[in-house]
Amino acid sequence: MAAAIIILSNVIPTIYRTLFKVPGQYPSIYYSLLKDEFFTSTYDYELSIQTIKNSKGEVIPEDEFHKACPIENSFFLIKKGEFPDSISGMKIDVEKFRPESDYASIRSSFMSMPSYRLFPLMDSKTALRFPHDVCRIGKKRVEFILAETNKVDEEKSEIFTRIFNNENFNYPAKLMAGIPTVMKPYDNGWFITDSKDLFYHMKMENGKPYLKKIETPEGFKVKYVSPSTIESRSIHAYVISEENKLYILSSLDYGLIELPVYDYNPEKHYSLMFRKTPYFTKVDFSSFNQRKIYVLDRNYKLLNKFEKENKPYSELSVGKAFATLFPFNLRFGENHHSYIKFVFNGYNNFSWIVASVIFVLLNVFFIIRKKRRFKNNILDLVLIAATGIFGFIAVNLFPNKEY
Amino acid sequence: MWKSMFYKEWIKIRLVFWLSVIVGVGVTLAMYMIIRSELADTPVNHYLWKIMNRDFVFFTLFKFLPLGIGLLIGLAQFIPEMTEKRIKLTLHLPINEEKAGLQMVAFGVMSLTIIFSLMFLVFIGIGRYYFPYEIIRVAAITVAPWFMSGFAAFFIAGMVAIEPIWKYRIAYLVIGGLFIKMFFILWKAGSYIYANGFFLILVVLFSISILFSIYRFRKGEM
Amino acid sequence: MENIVECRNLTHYYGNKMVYEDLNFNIKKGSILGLLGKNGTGKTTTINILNGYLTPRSGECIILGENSKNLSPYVKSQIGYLIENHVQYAFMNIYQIEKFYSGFYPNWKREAYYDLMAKLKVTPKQKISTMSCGQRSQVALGLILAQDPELLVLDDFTMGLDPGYRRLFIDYLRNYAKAEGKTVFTTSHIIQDMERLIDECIVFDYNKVLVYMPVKEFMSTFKQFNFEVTNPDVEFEKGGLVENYEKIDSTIELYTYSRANEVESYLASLGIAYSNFREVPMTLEDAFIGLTGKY
Repeated sequence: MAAAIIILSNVIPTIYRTLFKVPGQYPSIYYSLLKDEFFTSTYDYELSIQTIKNSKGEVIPEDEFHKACPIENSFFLIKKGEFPDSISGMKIDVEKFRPESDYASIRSSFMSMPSYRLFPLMDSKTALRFPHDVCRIGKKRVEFILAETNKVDEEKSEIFTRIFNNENFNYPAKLMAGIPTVMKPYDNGWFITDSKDLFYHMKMENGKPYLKKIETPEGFKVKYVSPSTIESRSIHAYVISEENKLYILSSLDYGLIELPVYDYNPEKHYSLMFRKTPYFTKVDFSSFNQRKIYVLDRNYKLLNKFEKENKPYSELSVGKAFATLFPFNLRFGENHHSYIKFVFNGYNNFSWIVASVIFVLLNVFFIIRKKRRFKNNILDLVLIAATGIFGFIAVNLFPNKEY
Repeated sequence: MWKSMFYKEWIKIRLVFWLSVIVGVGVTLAMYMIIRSELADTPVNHYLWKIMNRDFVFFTLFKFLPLGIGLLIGLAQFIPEMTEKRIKLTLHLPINEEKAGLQMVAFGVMSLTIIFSLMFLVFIGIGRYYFPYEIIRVAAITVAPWFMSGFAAFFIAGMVAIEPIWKYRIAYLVIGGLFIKMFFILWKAGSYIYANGFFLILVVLFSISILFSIYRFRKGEM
Repeated sequence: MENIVECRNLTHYYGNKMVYEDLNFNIKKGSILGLLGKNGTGKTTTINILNGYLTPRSGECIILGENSKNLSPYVKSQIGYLIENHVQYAFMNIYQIEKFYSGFYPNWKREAYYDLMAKLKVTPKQKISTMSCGQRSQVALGLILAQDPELLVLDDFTMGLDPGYRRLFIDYLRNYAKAEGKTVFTTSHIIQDMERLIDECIVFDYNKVLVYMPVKEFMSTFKQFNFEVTNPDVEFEKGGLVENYEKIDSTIELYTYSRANEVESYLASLGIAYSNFREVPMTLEDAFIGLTGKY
């Protein structure tokens, strides 16, 4: 019966959510450096119409938008020969665009993802190709396992372990961040943390190990690293700390630059994007009902901020009904996590009591009609009072033993 | 007395049991045969990265096998009890009715444990030959819910078979189906690592579910 | 004498359909009680209540001192139960089934079972499912004999048996019961040969009990009188003197517990002209049909 309640507490709310789905709206937001203003672009897929609004909410023609955001719309402007020579007094060189442009998308699910704890370490100095082994930073040493034989390459492991020992690496590695593919402009090794949360950059260059300990502020702990493949190689990675602060790991002396963004929370904001141009960096994150964009200048100082907030689910009428109907619900994972977890949510406000009382009364009616004895059904009624609709269904599916 | 009970259950399932062992172990072996032939075409390191980085699960062949075996053992055990309402004979035996029901379930669980252990050992044993420890660890975490689904299917088959009322049978089938679905929500390798314990508790809770059906049978709702 | 079974005020309904109300009966130690009735009159319902497979709407059955809703393993071991159609674990053979049951009963009488099996023309490895109905009835009977219970509950054991097996079964059973002092409760919708077996009978009709008395008493007091009437439209009122009657053209078959002279004076009081009045001897089967009607 308990099992049935648990199953129902997942199934029924899921059906409900599917039936009364709240359509999400995901407009594109552009920042115009020229006008220091945000533009909202929505695309209607049914009518194939793009509507662009300025920050005052007025619909503006496409041309005006293209001119206001020349970087994002360079394709159109160059075609029309209208691309400006300079932006805010800075000369624009289309050729230099690409090397200084970068994009990183971090979903909260990436932060808790099942990991094999093995990774391919490529050679950063030679042509990109898959190595013949996989690397493991185990309990006592670094090991390279040859794929072909499934045996440890003792020699190579020994060389790397020595370097790690020299840097006083605390085995085993906790976090390993790299780009395990050959579909990238260059290899930049792996960013790893050890068991005492010290932060390292590990590479292999011409077969030789490279390990650099990254200086971090006092008490700093890495939560997530998204390595960058920016062509100019000006930055190593985007880093999220355990306190949900955002950093850019500069390739200049491995400097860790803290970004002035203080309200990002991956538990809520399931999507985080960095968009870097030669002129500004945009940090864009969103949750179910919130969208926030921070625009930072070339020195990562705040330029402008965009914020939009809709009513949260619990304040929408479907959400209110949800909270009333279901005292709690079970999900197999927190928002956008890659693990299956049992997450019980509920008993947030008291509206569920109404539904529970109704179901208890309904069951009392059943008991009277079936001429059962109340004494034997007290536990059932308590169960229904506590678990509402789920208990009601379960109790009626699995009747008590009654003689 | 449990010896006699197990004897009866064994007579019922012995064919299905050996069939399950052969198919279960056979499929596991066949899976590695396929992997071996694939490894002849792809370099092993590429194959490893496919597993590690592209969420490639090399043991999909395995997926619904425990479920099928659980279901089969369950049906083999409980359908003969229900044809001509033979469960009356079982309930008339001079032991407590609930004990009789649980003994039958216990026997099924034992049989499944034996079959699944064999499969698991072959799976892990050969897997370790080809792949590093980490890969096999994640593989074991991933197949654990599949094996549990086998036990769940067994309990549900028993519960549905013994249930005398069609209305409840369908309800149990629906609940059971939804329960089984839980074991297959996401099958990114390793994603069940934090859920396996909880699933185990749910499966154990389900193990006594047959008592509800026996209870209703004895109340004479038909 | 001690009662092995006492059923008090049994009432049962399936949904709103009444099976019976306030059924009372006892089975004395060493006696053989037959529950006779047509199909669907509640015979199996009674057996199910007796064995604890069914909770009656009200009333109770006490078997060997225990309420049938909650029989202890010991009492269950003292009840031999033959299911309708001689249902057994048909996936076993006669050797396996003996081995299975022997584990449950400390006083298992293996010889009793194998003595009976020896008379059957079956191979030890033959599955019960491949046997004929008669052979299966002997297996089921053999198992009960080996169990050596105090009370035998037989649900419609005559069903599907050919006359030879039926006779064999009945004679074997009666000799055994009488010799060992066993109590037997049996139901049947085939009445033929039943008087060879049972001491007491209960006759069920839909919703009610028609007879509950020793077979001898029933056979000696329940009578059939035939006579011809001149007015073929004559109708009799049931319930008083007339238990039941059948009309075949101008011949009336009248069933009653009254004596010939009482019937004749009854006819006279109604002013019915009749001729050729005679008592017709009946078997139990005839009496059963006379009592319950042909339909």
